[in-house]
Amino acid sequence: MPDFDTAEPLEILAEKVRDSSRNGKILRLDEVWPGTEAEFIEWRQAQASTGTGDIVLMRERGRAILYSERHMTRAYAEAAACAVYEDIRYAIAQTVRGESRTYPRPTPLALFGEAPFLFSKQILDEAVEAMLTDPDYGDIRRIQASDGSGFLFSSVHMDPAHAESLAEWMAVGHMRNP
Amino acid sequence: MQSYGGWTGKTLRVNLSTGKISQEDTARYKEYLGGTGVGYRVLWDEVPAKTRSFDEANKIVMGGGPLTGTSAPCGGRTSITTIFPCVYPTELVGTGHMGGHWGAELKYAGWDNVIVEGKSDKPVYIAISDDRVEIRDASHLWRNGIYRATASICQEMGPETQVAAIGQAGENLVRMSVVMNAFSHSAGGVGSVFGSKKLKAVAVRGSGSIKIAANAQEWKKLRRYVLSLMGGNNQHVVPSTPQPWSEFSAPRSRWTARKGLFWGAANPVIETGECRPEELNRIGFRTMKATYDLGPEAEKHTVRMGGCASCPIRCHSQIDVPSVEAKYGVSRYAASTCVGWNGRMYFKSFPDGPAGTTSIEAAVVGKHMADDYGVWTCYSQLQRDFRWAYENGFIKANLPAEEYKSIDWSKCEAGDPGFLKELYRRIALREGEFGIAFGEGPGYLAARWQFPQSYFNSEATHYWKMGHPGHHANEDAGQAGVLINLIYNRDAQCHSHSNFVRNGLPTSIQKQLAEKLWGSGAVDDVQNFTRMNPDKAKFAVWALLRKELHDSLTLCNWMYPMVASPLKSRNYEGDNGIEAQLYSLVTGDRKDAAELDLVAERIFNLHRALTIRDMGTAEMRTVHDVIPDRIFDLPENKQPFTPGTNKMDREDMETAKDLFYQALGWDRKTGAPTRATLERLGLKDVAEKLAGMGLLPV
Repeated sequence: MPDFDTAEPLEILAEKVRDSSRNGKILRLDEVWPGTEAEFIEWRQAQASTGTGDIVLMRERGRAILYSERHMTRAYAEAAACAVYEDIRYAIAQTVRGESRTYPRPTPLALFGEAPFLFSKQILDEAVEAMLTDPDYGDIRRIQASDGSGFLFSSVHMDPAHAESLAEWMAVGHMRNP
Repeated sequence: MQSYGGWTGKTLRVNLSTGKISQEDTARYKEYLGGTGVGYRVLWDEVPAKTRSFDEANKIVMGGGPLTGTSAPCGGRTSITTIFPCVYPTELVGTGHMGGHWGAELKYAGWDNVIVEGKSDKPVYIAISDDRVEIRDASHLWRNGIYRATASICQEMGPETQVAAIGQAGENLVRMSVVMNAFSHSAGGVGSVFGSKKLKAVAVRGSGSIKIAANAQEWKKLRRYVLSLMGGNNQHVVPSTPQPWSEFSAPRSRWTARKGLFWGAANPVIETGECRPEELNRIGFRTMKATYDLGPEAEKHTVRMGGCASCPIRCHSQIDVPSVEAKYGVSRYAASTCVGWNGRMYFKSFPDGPAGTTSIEAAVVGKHMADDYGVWTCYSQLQRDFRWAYENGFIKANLPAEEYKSIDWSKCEAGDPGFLKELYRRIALREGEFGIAFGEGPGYLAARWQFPQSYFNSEATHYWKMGHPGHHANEDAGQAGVLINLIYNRDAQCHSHSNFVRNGLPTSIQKQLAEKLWGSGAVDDVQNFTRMNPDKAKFAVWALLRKELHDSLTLCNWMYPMVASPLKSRNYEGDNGIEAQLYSLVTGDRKDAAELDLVAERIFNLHRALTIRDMGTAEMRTVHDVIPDRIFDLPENKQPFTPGTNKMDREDMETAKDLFYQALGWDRKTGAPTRATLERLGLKDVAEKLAGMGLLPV
């Protein structure tokens, strides 16, 4: 257990987290806390601190992540966590499955070049190629619109015909019907 | 009108035949608000049935409404209502709508509307400086493009003057022509009516202000509330890329601002950045429209965004493309939005690809040619018709051999933007068969060149009916989109429904919002439509009534209604009563949303009555409200109501019409308003007239 007398006050830790979140970054717990996760939870509860309720401790694939919900949504934090840990295939799959289930829509490959992913084309292409033959990602399918832009969708959550037509609508149809 | 805010109380009437200039009390039009409402009423009362667009008896009704120029957010539009030249085969009532600053300036000058009647025997323009109104000689402006005419009039009247002008296209009675103000804000399809009256422009300078009923605090509070609900362009309420503050994103959202996206030709460059919903002073950065419309290459050319009076959205991209000056002899500076950039669509390809420099050059050259000559492209129908006719041999087949040889087709093949200078000149000046035919508009062109059924059935042409294309039809909103595209005599220009279905929120949330407004059955997953139901009829009716309301108040139908918002704290709900709140505070005439929708319904029914009267039939269902076969037949390998298609079903659309007419109180068999409905809406005189003509359903 860290020394409470020398540990930073929760408010200061909270500001670090908020600053990161404001800039689109999540923090790993171990970047700001020297002890275990359980110790952090205990310490936080022991702090007579108000006004830090926006600081969220989230677990993503066994890792403890901190973000401020004042400046970041959980959806973004989850995506950022995948990207931070360079768990690229998992990040892609989670995003694609989420979009296929939620909106529903296929996910343009171009999305993974944007924050919080910022995957290079080479890394992305390699990851996608590997996923297409990996049974863990057997539901992830790749399709292409008529303008050549690539999309991924999850066959668990989307009918392939629907995914194909939506990809075409997003890539081409919208611009033809502005 | 003196007891109400918003309106000035004065309507200007200018008779170009007699030279008489008079003013009337706007009070007689109060129950029609302004804009299209006043336009339809004037046409009903004063323009005889079956008047043609270029007849002296046709009138032009221009103006905004009680909200125009009051600083109501996005309250800067002007409606121009007349007998619309492009309607095929019978010219019927239609409206061109323009943004910019003209409508607000008219209000500052003390006028609600301008009614132009008669016909001058020589070129003139109407000069309005507050109370001083003159019909001035325009012979020195005639045969000038819109740019020079605007500049010249500003030299004569002052640099603050707002000029609504036509170019050579309008002068030469090209049906496909516009009226334009502020160099990039056009009212489509109405230019040649101006030209038929030898009216070059209506120019206005106003030094006054507009009284509103609310006190300053109330007004500021409401404006702030409206801004808090605002999304990006087209009321898209999520950003186009994942951003920390937002739960959702949508790749085709027009909320395109993000870190690393710049107005790259500004000095210094300006980053659009992350624009959070609560940052109301950054609304104008949300929509980086240049890259949305023109691709990533446009970023380095973007100086800033511009737009209309009282609008924080700023959807007009102002770009600088230096290369066009030396290469094509047009200004390097260009402002436009959306289809205004579609000069690119005339070309099959460009030497440097679809989104390279040449494509942007074509966009700029096309914009300058169209906007200066004053040619209307009708939601890019002109471009689609050109490509179809060219690729299918109809241009070669219909042009005299000498004329065909005189056009440098190698430029078209090579993707050379210089081709557009020739194309637009020919159309604007009605040069040869090419110029005449393409300037007539889709319906007349198709008849003139005897296009086969494949033209009408082609998704590539996007033809709908009566000389106009489909505009946010089944591809956006299934049956509701189709119904919306049945009603008008030009393309629908309705965005109430498409803004909602494209707002970027998941369908599940859209359904929750829809449930409160029309019923959760109103919206489907796009490209996975279900059968017709009463909720969809309500959705279609709501969309149309709100569009009519916006064109009469005026508010921008690309932003309102705001029934969705970017605020998670409100579960993404907007406010369906926003228009009524704005109207009530500005005018002092307290109405809730339902009461204001009733006014819209009155205006909407008057449009229908005008259409019936001037078509000489009440058989709207079978004669007017026709649906192109392609939406039932294409794609061939798909079945309606299966995932992955927007193909519709004929029987289902008949059900749709039944439910739609029922929701409107129209006769199911004919699609015509009943006497009961017209009387309910305060249109008893209209009912009597139609009954007398045998045009009221039994």
